[in-house]
Amino acid sequence: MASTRDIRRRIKSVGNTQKITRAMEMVSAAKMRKSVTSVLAIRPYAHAAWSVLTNLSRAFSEYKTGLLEVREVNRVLAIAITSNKGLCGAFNAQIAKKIREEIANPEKLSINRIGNKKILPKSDSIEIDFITIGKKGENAVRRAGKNIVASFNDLAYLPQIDDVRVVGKIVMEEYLQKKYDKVVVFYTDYVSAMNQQTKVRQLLPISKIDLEKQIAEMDVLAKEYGLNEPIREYKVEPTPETVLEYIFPRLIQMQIYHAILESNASKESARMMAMRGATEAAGEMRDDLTFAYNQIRQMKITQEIAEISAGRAALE
Amino acid sequence: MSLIKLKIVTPEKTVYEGGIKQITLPVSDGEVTILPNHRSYIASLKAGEICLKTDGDDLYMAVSGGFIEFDQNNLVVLADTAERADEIDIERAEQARKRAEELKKERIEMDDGEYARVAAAIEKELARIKVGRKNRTRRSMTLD
Repeated sequence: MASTRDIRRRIKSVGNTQKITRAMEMVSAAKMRKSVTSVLAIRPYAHAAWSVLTNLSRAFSEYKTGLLEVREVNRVLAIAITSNKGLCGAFNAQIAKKIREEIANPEKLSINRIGNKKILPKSDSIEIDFITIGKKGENAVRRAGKNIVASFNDLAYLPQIDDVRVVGKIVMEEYLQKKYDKVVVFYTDYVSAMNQQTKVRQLLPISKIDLEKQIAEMDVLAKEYGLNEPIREYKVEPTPETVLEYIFPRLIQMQIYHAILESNASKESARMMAMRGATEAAGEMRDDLTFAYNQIRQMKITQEIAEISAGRAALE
Repeated sequence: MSLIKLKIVTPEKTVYEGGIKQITLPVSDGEVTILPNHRSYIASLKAGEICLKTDGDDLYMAVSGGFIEFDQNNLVVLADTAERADEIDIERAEQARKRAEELKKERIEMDDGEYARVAAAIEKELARIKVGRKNRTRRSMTLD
């Protein structure tokens, strides 16, 4: 049987752990609130960019080169967004799982679409390379034995759009050089504090259907921004092509940025929930230990009293 | 008189939202002033100064590239960055410009993309400085 001293020591250590987890929970809660605000702040921009794009859609549909070019998929570049540190529940494990699934079963990744037409790959096996954001994803990809093109581990917890410009640049350059035929991003969508979903989204080639879906998911009020209105004649300066060339890189950046912000909000809420669970578990454990401690103490006292009275009885 | 419903957004936040009477923007081919009932218009922006007239006073802003969409008295300005003149810290803008220029000098063998980025940064800071300075002189004039 454990001595009272050992149990007291354990009670103290569990108590200290509880203090730490409670502090971490509160920190995550504050960070989550900020991340969610920044996710909301990007929405007006996304809508406005989308609206310009829809209004340029005539030029958009004729323009079939560069970032819009749809090719057969032989090589895929995937961006995996995870955290640098652990202690955030299943957040990183879920992304790692999704990555393993897609690597083992790359059917979805290997299809490109133009409208409703599917372009099937010639060969069965496709190659997948990764850009990782966050150390945990880097490790997961490395374990899966895949090639890492670039790795970003030092993003601030509330990144500026400037911070993701590099990522966007790499992605676009590689695509334009035809090194990769498709670019996707693995991230965690923040649905609510209790619910986060791992998602794979196509970045390149830029597809109207995908973008439309994304904007609709961002906000049900998409109609307000005229997504369903007929296209009007615009005067475009200097030319539709230059404006499109200006918009596309920004759309890519915005999408990456948005994915990072969503992942951030998810990460913090996952951490918050994990830490809340840990705090509760620590509380229960402390109660159990205190109970055990009191039992032992009680037993000892009873025993001592019994001994004393036995000693007394022997003297009389 | 009808007003233009203006919205200036950057990826990080909505900078301005409200009705205005007139706006002057730095577009890629020069400067454009938009009044209510202008025809539908899309253009790309370059770094420079936005000047907008509301009912009360004039407002000045520094932008660094982006694009605009005007349709039926709704104007959306999508800027990479946008700052109101009174929020600009001229000293810091000056420092940032110097840093960018040094970068430009130091690395002569930059690839085109990087060079363009640094050049754009310099232009952005120059626009900020200009707008900030103007704001300062305007303020001191009204004080006198």
